[in-house]
Amino acid sequence: MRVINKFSLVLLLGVCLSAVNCTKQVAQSVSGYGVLNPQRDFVLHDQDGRIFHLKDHRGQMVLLFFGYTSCPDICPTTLSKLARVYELLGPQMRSQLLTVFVSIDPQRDTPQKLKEYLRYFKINAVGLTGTKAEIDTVINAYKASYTKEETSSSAMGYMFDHTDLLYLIDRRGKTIHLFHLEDPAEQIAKIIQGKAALSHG
Amino acid sequence: MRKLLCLTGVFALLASSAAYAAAAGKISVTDAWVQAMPPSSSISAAYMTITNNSSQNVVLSSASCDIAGAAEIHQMKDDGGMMRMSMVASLTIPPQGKVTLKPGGYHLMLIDLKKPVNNGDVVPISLHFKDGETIKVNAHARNQ
Repeated sequence: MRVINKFSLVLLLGVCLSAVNCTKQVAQSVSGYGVLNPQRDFVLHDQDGRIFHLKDHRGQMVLLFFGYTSCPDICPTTLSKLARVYELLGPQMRSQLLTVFVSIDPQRDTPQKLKEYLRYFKINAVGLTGTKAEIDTVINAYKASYTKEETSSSAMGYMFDHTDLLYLIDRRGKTIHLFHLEDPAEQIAKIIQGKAALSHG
Repeated sequence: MRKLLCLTGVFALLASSAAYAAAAGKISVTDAWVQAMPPSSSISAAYMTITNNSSQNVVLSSASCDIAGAAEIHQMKDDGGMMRMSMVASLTIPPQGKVTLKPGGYHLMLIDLKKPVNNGDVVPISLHFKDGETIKVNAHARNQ
């Protein structure tokens, strides 16, 4: 009996230590940003014109990404990389990980355009849009930022500067990790797998 | 007959390599590729390495592409976590140096695409240099 008690104590200590360790890892990865989206919800319109609530996706891991379809460089590179991440994660994880692409360009990115754009990358993704005020509410909740740069010299007309983060949100809606857009697919997949396992527990 | 076919093959290969290495004289261009994009997209970006084999600066002043309404030199910069894109007037390649256009850095922005850029497509791009030289490159479209 005493042996069992000692074993339980060691086990309990191990669990506590690993919990402390995990908390520390999470705190480190999102440190400097404070609590992101404490409501753990936001509302926008999806690519099919339906209302999208983050809270309706409890039980799924979410990768949140702010971008725009006229972005020639970072956005398609990141979405192509995410296609590789999904490959690495395998078919089972595919349905459990939802990529949420929030457009910062409601002027050009119609729901139809978002739908066609995201379909191309063959990932489990939803494209969201809304009014500028609605999009800004989500941007602010995640302490992201963007600026619209009007340019008369470029045929683009206007371009955006935007933050370079991918937000990993757990099954309860909590932001648990921030990826930089240049992080390699292998690293992203590995961290998602680790966090998903913890999130189940 | 077989020898003749082999020789023809070798010549074809050499001709094709020369086209991709695009003028191995003063300026050479290698690894040219274009971001394959969804069919609904009207923009894309081209990347490559431009090497200056001469002892003087070489200045890329503009570019053009048959399938795009405009081709501009742009730069993406990571400014403390903000990705900032801006148009640049020209790109200087130092003597005996090279500049690599790559995602997250310099790129040729292809605007108002007249047709979709699909994976595997070959996109001809002309690079116009300040000294009047024009170099044509074939950029292969792929997803990265």
